[in-house]
Parts: sequence; structure tokens; C-alpha cells
Amino acid sequence: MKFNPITNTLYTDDNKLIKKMYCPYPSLKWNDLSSLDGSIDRFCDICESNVVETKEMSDESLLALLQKDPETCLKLDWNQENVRIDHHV
Amino acid sequence: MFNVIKYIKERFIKKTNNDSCEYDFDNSLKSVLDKRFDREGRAYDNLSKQYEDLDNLPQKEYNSLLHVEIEKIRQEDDLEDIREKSLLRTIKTLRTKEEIRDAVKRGHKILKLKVQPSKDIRVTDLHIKDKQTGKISIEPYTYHNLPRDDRYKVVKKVTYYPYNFPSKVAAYLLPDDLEVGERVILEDLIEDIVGASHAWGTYRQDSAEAVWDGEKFKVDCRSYDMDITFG
Repeated sequence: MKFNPITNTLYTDDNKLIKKMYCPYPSLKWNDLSSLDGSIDRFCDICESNVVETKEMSDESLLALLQKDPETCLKLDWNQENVRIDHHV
Repeated sequence: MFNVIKYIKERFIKKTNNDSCEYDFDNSLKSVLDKRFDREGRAYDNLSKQYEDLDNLPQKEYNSLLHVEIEKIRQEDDLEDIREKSLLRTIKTLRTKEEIRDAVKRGHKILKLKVQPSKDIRVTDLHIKDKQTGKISIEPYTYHNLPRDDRYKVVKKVTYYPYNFPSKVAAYLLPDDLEVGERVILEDLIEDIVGASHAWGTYRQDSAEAVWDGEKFKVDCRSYDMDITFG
């Protein structure tokens, strides 16, 4: 997948929009989120929703997830191996 | 130990080298230590109520009990911090002259600011030419993107300010009942503050917590980690 940090938007490798990322709580950190038993995802107590860890996901599975629920909250580390930074996508 | 503190100090000062967002290392360190001493004190008080002879317990048992209690308190504090975050009001930003004019006409209070691109915010792209096809691709200037094959050649390196805004002025829309000292969330930061720094560029922080001092917002630059994005 590709991430444009200027627009905070996530795309597949072939430039399909996955999601425009937006979190209303700018100081929120991964460690602030509660762990979920048996899952690498976490739970946000403010929004009361799961936050999906994307580091092991493929473009296809992310697209499928977002198509099913466009409001799904994602966590993306700019340095994770399956992400490429792109300023022009 | 002194060197470690010096290193951290230099690193953070460099990261937030901006007049509007200077990292106050001494205050931040004090705040961390105060919090730690406070938790230890509360843990001791809690245990004192449960164990009459707390001070006479064997050192190992005492340490273990104290450690568990401090961890419990830390988790409770974290939950409280989260609860407090959820109560913060969000300040809207007006990005166009029309929006600003309309808000003033409707009697809203605003804080108008110049949109000033910071020279500290820059990204560098490589223009890489495929000699066989003539096609040029643009990639961020990272080690991994440097061509390792004779077929590809860097034809240009371009460094630029990567953000565009619709107007050279913007304004925060102030709630009528905004109180001095109130902590808020600026959902679209007008000030250019470096939020993430990489070899190929620096990026602006797009939103932040801030405290209203009666005239302006004092942006809280502590502990943001833009490299991890949520949304």
C-alpha cells in the first residue's frame, strides 16, 4: 500500500483509494489503546471502536474491510514494511 | 546519565525548533518525575490501608506489592487521561476569506492568523528516469529509492514545501464561552509546526491540543507521534 503523508490518505499499490485517515484526537498514541485478547488490533475507549493494525494486511484485505465498513479505524506506522511513502499519489 | 539527558534534550529541541512550539525539556522531565513520585506515594498510601505492617514486610515482598499497585494506578491514570481527552472541545478552522467574513458577520469571535509556510518543512523527491522507456517516476528521497540498476538514473532532486492552502490567512473560530486556561483540540492547525521528521522530509503537524491564554492558543507540542497515523 501507499501512504501520502501530505494528504493523510492511504492507497493500494495500484492507486485505489483505501481511506483518508482522520483521528479527532491528535495526542492519541497506540499505547493509549486497550489490548484485545487474541488480536493485534486494539480498542479505542474514546470512540468505543476497534482500531485495526494494518502492518500485516494486504491491499485486498484492507479494501474488503473498508468496503464492508467505511468507518473502520486504522492504525498505520509510516515505517511498516508493507507501506511506501508517496507524495504524489 | 548526563549524556543521555543531553542527547534527548538536543534531539527534542531539534525536532521542535519552532518559536511557537519550543520543547520545554526541563518542565517535561519534571512533569514525568512528578507523576512518577505521585504514583509511588498513592501506591504506598493504598497499601498502607491494606497492610498494617507494610514497612516491616521483607524488602522483596514490599517491592513486589508496590510494583503491582503502581501499575494498577498507572492504568487507572491512563483511563482518566483518555476520558479527559474525550471531553476536550474542538476548535474549527476557517480556511477561506469568505468563511472568515461570514463568521464575523454572524457575530462569532475569531482569531485570525497569517498562513506562513515554515522553512523547516520541506520534502525532497527524486526524479528517476528509466533509460529504456524514457519514463520518469517521482519517489521520496530515501535510501531504498536510490537506483541500483544502470537502467535507472536520478535526473533531478527537488526539494519543496508540499502543502497548499486556499488563502494566506486563516482563523480559529472561538466559542463565546472559551475560558482562559481551557485545553482544546485545534483540528486544523494554522501554525506550521514540524510533526514528523525523516531523511526525505519534514511534515507539518495537522492538528494538536492547545491551551487558550486569552489572546492566543499555546500549542502543546508534547508527545505527538505523527509516524503512527490513526483514522
